[in-house]
Amino acid sequence: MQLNSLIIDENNMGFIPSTGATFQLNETGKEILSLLKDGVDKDTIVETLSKKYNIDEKELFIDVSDFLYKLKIYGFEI
Amino acid sequence: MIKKATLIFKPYSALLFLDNKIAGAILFALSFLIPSVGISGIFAVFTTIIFAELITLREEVLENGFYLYNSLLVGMGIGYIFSPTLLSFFLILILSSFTFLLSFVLYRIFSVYKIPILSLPFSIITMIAYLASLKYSYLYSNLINSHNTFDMHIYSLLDPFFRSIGTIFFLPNVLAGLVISLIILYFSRIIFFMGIISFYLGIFIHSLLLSSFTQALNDPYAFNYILVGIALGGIFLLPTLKNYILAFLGVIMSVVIVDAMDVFFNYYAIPVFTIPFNIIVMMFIFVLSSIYYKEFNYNIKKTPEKSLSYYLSNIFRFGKDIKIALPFSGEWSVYQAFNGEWTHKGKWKYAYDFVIENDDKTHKNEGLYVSDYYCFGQSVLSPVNGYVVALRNDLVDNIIGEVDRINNWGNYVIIKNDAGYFVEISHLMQNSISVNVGDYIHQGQIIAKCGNSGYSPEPHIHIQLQKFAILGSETIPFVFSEYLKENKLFYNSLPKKDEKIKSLIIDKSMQLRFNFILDDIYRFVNEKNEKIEFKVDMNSLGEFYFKDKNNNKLYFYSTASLFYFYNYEGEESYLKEIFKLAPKIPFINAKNIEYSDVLPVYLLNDKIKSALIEFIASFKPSIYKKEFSYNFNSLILSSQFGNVTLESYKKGFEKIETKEFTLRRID
Amino acid sequence: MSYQKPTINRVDFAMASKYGSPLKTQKIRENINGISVRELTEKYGSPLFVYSQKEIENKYNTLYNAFSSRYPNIQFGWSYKTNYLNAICNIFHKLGSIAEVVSEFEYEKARNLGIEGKNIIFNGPYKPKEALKIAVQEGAKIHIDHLFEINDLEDIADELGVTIPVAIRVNMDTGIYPQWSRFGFNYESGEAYEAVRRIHKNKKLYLTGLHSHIGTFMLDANAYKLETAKLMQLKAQIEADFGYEIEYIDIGGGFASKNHLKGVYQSPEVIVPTADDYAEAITSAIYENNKSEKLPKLYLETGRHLVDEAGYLLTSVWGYKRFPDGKKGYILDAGVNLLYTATWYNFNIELDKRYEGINEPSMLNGPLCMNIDIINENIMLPALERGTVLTISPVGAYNYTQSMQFIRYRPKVVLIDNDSNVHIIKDDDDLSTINYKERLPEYLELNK
Repeated sequence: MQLNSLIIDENNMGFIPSTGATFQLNETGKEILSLLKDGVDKDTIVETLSKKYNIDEKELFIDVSDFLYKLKIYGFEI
Repeated sequence: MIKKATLIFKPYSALLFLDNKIAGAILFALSFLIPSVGISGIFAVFTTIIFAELITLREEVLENGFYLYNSLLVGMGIGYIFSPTLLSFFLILILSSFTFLLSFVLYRIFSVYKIPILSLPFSIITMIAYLASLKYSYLYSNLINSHNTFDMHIYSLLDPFFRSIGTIFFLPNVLAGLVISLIILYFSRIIFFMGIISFYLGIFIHSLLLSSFTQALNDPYAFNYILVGIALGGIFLLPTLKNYILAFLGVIMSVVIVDAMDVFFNYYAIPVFTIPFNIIVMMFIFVLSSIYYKEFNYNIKKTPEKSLSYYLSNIFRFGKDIKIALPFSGEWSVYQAFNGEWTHKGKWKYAYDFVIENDDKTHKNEGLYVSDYYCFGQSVLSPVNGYVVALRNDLVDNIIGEVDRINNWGNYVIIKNDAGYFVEISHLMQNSISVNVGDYIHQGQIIAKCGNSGYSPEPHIHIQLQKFAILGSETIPFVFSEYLKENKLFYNSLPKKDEKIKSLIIDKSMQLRFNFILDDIYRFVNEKNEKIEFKVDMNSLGEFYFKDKNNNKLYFYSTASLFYFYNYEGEESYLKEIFKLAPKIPFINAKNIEYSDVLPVYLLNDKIKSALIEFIASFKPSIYKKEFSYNFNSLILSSQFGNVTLESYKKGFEKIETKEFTLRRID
Repeated sequence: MSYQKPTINRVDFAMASKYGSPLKTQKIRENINGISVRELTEKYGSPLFVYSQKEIENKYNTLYNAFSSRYPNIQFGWSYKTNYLNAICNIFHKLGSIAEVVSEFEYEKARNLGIEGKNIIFNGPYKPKEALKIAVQEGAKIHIDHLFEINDLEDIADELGVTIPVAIRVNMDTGIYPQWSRFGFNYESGEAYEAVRRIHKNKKLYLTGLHSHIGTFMLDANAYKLETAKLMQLKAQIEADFGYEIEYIDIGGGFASKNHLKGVYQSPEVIVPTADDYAEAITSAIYENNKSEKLPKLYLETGRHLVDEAGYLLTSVWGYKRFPDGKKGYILDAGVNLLYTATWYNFNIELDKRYEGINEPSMLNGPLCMNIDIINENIMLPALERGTVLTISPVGAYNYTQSMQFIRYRPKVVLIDNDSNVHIIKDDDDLSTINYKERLPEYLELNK
């Protein structure tokens, strides 16, 4: 599945119109998705978020890895 | 044969509504003040007894005094006007037998309507006799015109009273009346009080109507007022203040009736006798018993004092409300009581809600899940013996935050108890009811689990009593038969909201210790090494009692959870002390439990003080309420009177100890 | 804006149900008896066994009252194998319990606490002769399991020149499966009766009691009714035929706790009988079947029911990873090495606080490098952090005594008393604990 097929609304709910699959995201998740759609790679995402939220990069790496792995499991192409 | 002999004195005392052989003997002797009355009276009694033997009537039936006293009155009535001759005796013979037959017939008819026959047979028969004798000229020649008997003067206002009392016995004589009054006063202050007040009340009303006091005072039929007052104010109704007023109303009514009959019967020169008394009293009794009047004397004892005593001690000890046990075991708190502010209102105000609390909270953690609530899943026990008549088992237990408004009773069980009332228990756990419709269940039996079905914001047990079996039917008030609060045992009470109470589980081994069977004998030795024996016996009403060799009787009864004594007849004895030492014993495994009980006044005081209290109790019943504390620990029940000890493996008491004596069990 | 770990979860509307959304429901426990779980782990380390004295006393009093209000002669015997920590055992002894042991080690432990021999019930199929002799000398209540034990006891009787009061263990059909028929003598086949005849023959032992223990985690109170009825019937038979006066019957243990059995859909409150259910079943069976003048003393060897719900295990999240099937796997510092009974029960897992976000399917694994180290295979949890303290309960019964000295040191155990004071009742094991009984032959020592 293409990431672009995922439409996210203001309530942080994501839909894939063609299959009807529904997802629930949170703010950070939404952010990472928009960065991914812009073609940003994993390490840069980690750096960006680390600076923005002032969280240690090492910790963020685990969280972002987990998120991306989840997307892979759901069938999205990353 | 001796038993038959003492039967002779019974009808004499029965005329005064008493049941005492000595009183009867004195009255018998007194009747000879006018010899023909005395002789004719006793002759009538003899003939009736012989007639009864002739048709081989059972002895117990004769014990129902009304056969004999009606005959006695007939005999005395004949002896009053005809001097004793062979012919008059022959007349008495016929008439007593006739009286016997009429009494029997009237009794059969009246008892269907629960009306006593009083002295109606006598009135009817003597009227018949007087009417018929108008034709018996030979007898008339022996008519007694006046009775020259010894008499006395006391005081002009009092003499008529005594004379009237005597007239009841066909002895219109101040001396006779005085003796009779003294007998009455000795045996029952209430009978005396009612007699004298009724007399003067009747006279007063009559005097208003006649506008002549003296005429009223000397009315020969005034004794009717006395009889009405006594019958209504102490015998057939309980001697309470309300009933005294009813009695006086009856007396006033009888004034008019006496006059009416007097005018009517005068035409045939026959006296009115006790017809007004019979009519008024029978009417009152019929009406009051038909409406189940609360202060009707359903248990007539030997004197009005004893009747009142029996009534009050039972009211104070056991109350009038319907009793049920608690539907759980262990310690629970009252969530809502009668008239609870949330849901116990209107038709459903008589209900209780129970929960379990620890540290003042009904749940652990946040209380977000039903399983957090301490009472969820706890056993629900049956509060009564009875049949299961309805149940519902399938509704789910709501999650916290949701309630079922449609099936607001949730899963429930309705039990019809032996007395005919319906107990309803609600909000039970889904599929937890372990009994079926039609099962007979016992108090304390586990029947379901506490749940959260129906309109239930959190798990709790809801219990109510209904007159009808339909779910949602109107509730009726009740009390809980026993519960523990801290270490005090409360009987027949209602706990208040937020109180923590513990239920009493029936310990079957205690029940076994009080399983007294007819003809059981219990043997003791006292401190002087004398042998004492108590035997279990039963009277014709099915009441069980312990009897000692002097025929003192201590009546007892057991419910599913309690053993108690409720009545004592006799003089000073060990049995009387035992009533004080152990008036009631709950069937529990007791560890230092306190409770109180009210003891009947006649157990506590000497005869004079008892008499005084029993008299005042008509006006102020609370004076009868003497409460005492008892402590029950392991198998020993102690109080200020002493203690009794139960034995682990025997029925009844092992040791009975007071300051004065000690009884130890042997066998 | 504060940072939250990024999450994405597929929403399945079919999952929402009447019992609260599994996506949002969180079970939280911040305190045990008023003491914060985080404080406990900070002060005493993690993992940590925590026992609540209040819970124990509550369960004991409720069960004791359920029996004592129905029956006049009750005695509880604390089952050491359920939990033999000295402090726990003494709580029960102070509440009035005697001791019930099933081995020479448990027997010694009880004696060491100061319990007299006459207050020890000695059960079990394996009783070495030396231990048996000591038990006889100290007056313990010996419950015989097989004929060899009778022979051993008769030898001891000869040696000491005494006659020994004994009881026999009986097994019977109580309508449940499995029937624990391998302990004691069977009733229906007449083996139990024969055993008594054997005892009676030589007159060196005399029978004073009858014992039975029908199972564990019993969900049917009626099985106890049958057990008690059959024991009472055997008692009547024996008393009539051999003239013994049987003083007591011991109906063993097996009362269930509010633990969630694997494979059972309903919640424990629904299926576990209450103390009243058990008490009513047993006491009514005694009254109904009693044929002698005296009522026998009733012994109960309850263990699990009294202590399980009073025991908690605090464990911390060490880390997590995602499995290829999408499930989140948490690594905890306690596993099946400390929770042997996780094989049969789904314990309650409670979080130390509320976590943001919706739940996701997760697995809880222990610290062992063994594939079977799973505490819970599939549980809906929110995203937890490293250091999250989870409270696992009820674990009071068997978990401590059956915990393994495997891979990790066995942890501390604390007890919270009735005034919310915390006491350490067992310290952490360390190297010296493990090496204590080992002996290294000199030739195997490495160059010093």
